[in-house]
Amino acid sequence: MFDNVPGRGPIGSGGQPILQLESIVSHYGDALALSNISMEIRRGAIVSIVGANGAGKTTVLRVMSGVVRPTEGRLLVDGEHVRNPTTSDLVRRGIAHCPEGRRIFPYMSVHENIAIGAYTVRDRRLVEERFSFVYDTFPVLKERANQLGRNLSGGQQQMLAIARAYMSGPKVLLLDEPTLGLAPRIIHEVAELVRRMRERGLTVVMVEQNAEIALDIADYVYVMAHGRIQVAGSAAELRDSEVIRRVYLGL
Amino acid sequence: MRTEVARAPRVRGLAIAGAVALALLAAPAALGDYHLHMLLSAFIAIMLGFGHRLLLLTGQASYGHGGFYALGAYAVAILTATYSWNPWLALVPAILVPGAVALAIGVPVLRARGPYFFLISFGIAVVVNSLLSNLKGLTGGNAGIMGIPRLPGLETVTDYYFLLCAVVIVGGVAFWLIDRSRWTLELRAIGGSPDLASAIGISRQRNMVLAFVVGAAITGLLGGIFATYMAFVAPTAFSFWISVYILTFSMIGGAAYWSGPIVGATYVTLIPLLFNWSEHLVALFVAISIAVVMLLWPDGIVGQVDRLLARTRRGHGGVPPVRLKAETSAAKISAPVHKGGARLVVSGLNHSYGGIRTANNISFEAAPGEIVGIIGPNGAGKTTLFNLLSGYVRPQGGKIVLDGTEIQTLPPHRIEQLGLTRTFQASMVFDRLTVFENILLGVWGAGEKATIVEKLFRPRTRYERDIAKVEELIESFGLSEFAHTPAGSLPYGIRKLLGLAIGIATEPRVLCLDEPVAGLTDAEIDRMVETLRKVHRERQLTLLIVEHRMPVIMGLCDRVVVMNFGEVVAQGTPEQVQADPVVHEVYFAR
Amino acid sequence: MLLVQVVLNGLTAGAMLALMSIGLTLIFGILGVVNFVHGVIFMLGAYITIYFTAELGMNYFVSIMLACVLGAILGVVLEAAFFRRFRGKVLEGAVFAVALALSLEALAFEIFGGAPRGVQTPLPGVINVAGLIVNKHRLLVVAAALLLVLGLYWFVRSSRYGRAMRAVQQDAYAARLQGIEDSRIAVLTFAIGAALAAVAGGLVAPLQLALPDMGTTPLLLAFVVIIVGGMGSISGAFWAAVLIGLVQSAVTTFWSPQAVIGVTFFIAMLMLALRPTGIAGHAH
Repeated sequence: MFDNVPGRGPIGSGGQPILQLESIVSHYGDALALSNISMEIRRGAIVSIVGANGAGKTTVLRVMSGVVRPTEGRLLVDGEHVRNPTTSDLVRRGIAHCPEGRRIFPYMSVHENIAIGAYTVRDRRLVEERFSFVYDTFPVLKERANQLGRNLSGGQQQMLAIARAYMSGPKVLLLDEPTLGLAPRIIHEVAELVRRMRERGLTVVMVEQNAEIALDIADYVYVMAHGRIQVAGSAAELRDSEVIRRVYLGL
Repeated sequence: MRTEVARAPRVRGLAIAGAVALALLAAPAALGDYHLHMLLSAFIAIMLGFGHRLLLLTGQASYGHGGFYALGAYAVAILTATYSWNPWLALVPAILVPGAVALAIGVPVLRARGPYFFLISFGIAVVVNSLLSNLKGLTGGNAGIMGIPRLPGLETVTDYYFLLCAVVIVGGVAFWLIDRSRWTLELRAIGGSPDLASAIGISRQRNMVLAFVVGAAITGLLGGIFATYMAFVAPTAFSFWISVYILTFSMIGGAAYWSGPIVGATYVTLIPLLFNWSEHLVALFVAISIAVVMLLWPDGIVGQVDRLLARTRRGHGGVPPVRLKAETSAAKISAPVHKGGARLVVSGLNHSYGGIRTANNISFEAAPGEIVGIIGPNGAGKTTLFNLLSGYVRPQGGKIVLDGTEIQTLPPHRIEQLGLTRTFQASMVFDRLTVFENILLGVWGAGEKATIVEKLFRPRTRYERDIAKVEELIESFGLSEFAHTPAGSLPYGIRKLLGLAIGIATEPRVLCLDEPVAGLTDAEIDRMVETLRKVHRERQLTLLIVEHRMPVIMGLCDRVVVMNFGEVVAQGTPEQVQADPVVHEVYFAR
Repeated sequence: MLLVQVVLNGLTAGAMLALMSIGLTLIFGILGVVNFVHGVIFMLGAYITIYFTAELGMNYFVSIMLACVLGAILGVVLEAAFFRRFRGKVLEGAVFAVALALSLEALAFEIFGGAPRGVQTPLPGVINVAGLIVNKHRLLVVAAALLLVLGLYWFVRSSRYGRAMRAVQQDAYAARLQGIEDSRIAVLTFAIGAALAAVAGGLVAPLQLALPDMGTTPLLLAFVVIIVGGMGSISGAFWAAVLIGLVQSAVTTFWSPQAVIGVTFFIAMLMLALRPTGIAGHAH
């Protein structure tokens, strides 16, 4: 039976979770967005948050990256409680957020888009190293290095957004609906990319509307609806259950 | 909702106004010319403030009214001094010329949002000033025009005092009536939420231009009177500062209040009197005042006082609630004329933006009285579809036919008048207006258009039939407790309910609801769904609902349209759609 | 030869306008603030330069640099103390800015008095360039402006902060996610804009007499420039400044100085009606 207690990660992975949410409550104005969210993200894991629109998935990422200040609850990075989570602080602590809809800078070239991802990085050599990795991993971006961001296709923009997020040297990469609006073939490439990021030592938290993709890539899945975690468990366990379908289609 | 409580302040207000009027009329007996001159300047300032306030209500401001003032003054100056017109007659062009200029500028520039109009308004004062200096033949250049005759029948300062006193009293009453009229509420709606205002049938363009033109005309009239009073005009008298003063009069008191211009103008013109300051010091004082007000008291002086009073009022037991009703009433929502639902036919709708196909050959139909749900993942194009249907975005191809009429090229307020209303996710209500006023605006969106005179001067309380409809809707939606609360201070769930009520009030034949239950608690969702069912039962209107909550969609809708990548990928009954493998692929497939 | 003179004067005017407008367009494009205080900063730049050069006897160029620094500081103060509070409230901010500008101008009248001040240029006289008589100081103004504009363009294109500024302008949310602090960029933008305006004032000081309200007309023309050039675009502002400078010169010579504002505002309105995004077509 899978674990119905939200927040318990895969048992036996040991060590401190790299990122933790404790009893997070969050509002947009006076509308309740998140209610009692607790999550543990283990180092090196690929964790997916799935659910229908309006479930609060994006809000969870925004709390993790400091865009949204929770009304209640705590955010912990590497076991340390972050008291005043601002985005620039969290970026420097190693959390990179790749937003929904990619949001690359339309009037900057591919190269500049990648470069601005390294805004918080002062070490020249590190930046160059990461540029090499990025251009190796995304040859398409290297080809189009001087093209304006707005002229790239959806899939290429997604690559660019991920590359840009990578440049800050994050420990945790937050991806918000990376497969949104992409053709199936590109989706595969993105999935590959996510795995390669993990191979590089990154932890990935991925919000996905498409449950099958999420189950395919992730180790651990949180299923959300109405601002709460409905169910959580390892991908293997959830894959065979009807729960996800029920939550989505309201059956 | 006329309660006995409202009567008492009314009588008191009239008594105060009466006393003030008497004092003003008696003043010449006690004061000399110098002080009368000051009071008369204050009167002019008050009227200028009233005139400009109309535009401020819509959320725009003008730094160019000094130009209209100058145009009025010079029109009179030229016609009387050079062409020997009767000064009373010359006041007519003083009204018309600035009005015409305002019309010529307002129509193209007010279309744009943002600060463009404000920037251009700078130009008005400056261009007029430069014209005055340059067209020497006509205007006497920098030397100006002298020997402007006084208005026949008025010789002394005291005579002009009475004239302007009368102008202010008549004007004050007129603007008091306007403030209580339908038009002011519509202007405030535009200022609060222009998109929502369009969606319920208020033409942003037409109303803003009218407000601008009326203000300009009044400013011109006062300029004309001023010219005859001073007997002399020159460009230096109409510097840029006049525009600043005019804006100040209406803003510093608080643009939202009828008494705002009175307080503001009095503050600016009379306080410096107490200190006998130099011209520059006065200018400094005015400018600093407005800077401080914008920084600290955005609601103006009157607004600040009002807020303090409200706080003390609340401490003393508050405003008595009109009625207490927590549950949705079982009473029918009756409407004298049921128009019934319309047929909506969408065919081949196309739209692209920035290289992305946001709508790709969308076709579907909603039969009269049908409830159609529109679902799809994020980015599928559902909001774009709504924007296309309601006129906020123009399609690049395809047709939208509402009961036989093509609407795809019409602006939102026209589409509303034809019977299609939509709600919004953000800006779903007018925050600064009360629940009652919100719904009243919706009800007006349903009726035939009122005549201009009616719109301007008929007090809102007199629209008896419309008020009855509002009261019915308020009761039926269970909003009685909040009827006179500003919508912005209500809890989220109640605001959403109000948003629906406004939409229903417009008596639409097709109602497009954009995520009506997003962000609501389970109890609130149930209440909303129940209300929707009831509304649909009573009125048989056609409903289009964009939603993500599957239970809501499946339980409410007759048919469901599934979108992805800007296309319609499936249509059918809820059962059909739930079983359709294509739909599964949309949500679950790799 | 009159035509050539008109063109040269136009280029000088354009150079100055460019310095004023670029700061203005950056502040609007990145922060959404309509900075009416710009004219006052221009005026203060002139007065500071005059004070240090004529009264304290310092070198003209050093004085201008001091004006530049003081202008930048003033810009920082304006943003941190005031304009920060109007984020997202463009109209209120604009009304406030006008009021503040007029307060400062009136204050200047009280402090400096209405008598015009002046300063001598360090480069008096003219030079002969291929048969054309060119005023040396005007050449200096054009050269200095070109240098500064190019320098700024390079900064915005290639430096870390410059890139951050463009990022905030194109997508403030995405910029934030890269760790860019909005407040820091805001302060930087204001500092740059104000510095440029102050330098413009200092450069113009030897060419005309300084009065406390000398900033009004350049400010209005700068608004025309940024409307015509496209709000938020540096290159748009540059070319529009050249255009408007030439128009200004032509109208002054062939018609009358007072007609300049009328003509230029008419051009602005035409642009708004036909192509609201300006020459540039989009901000970048």
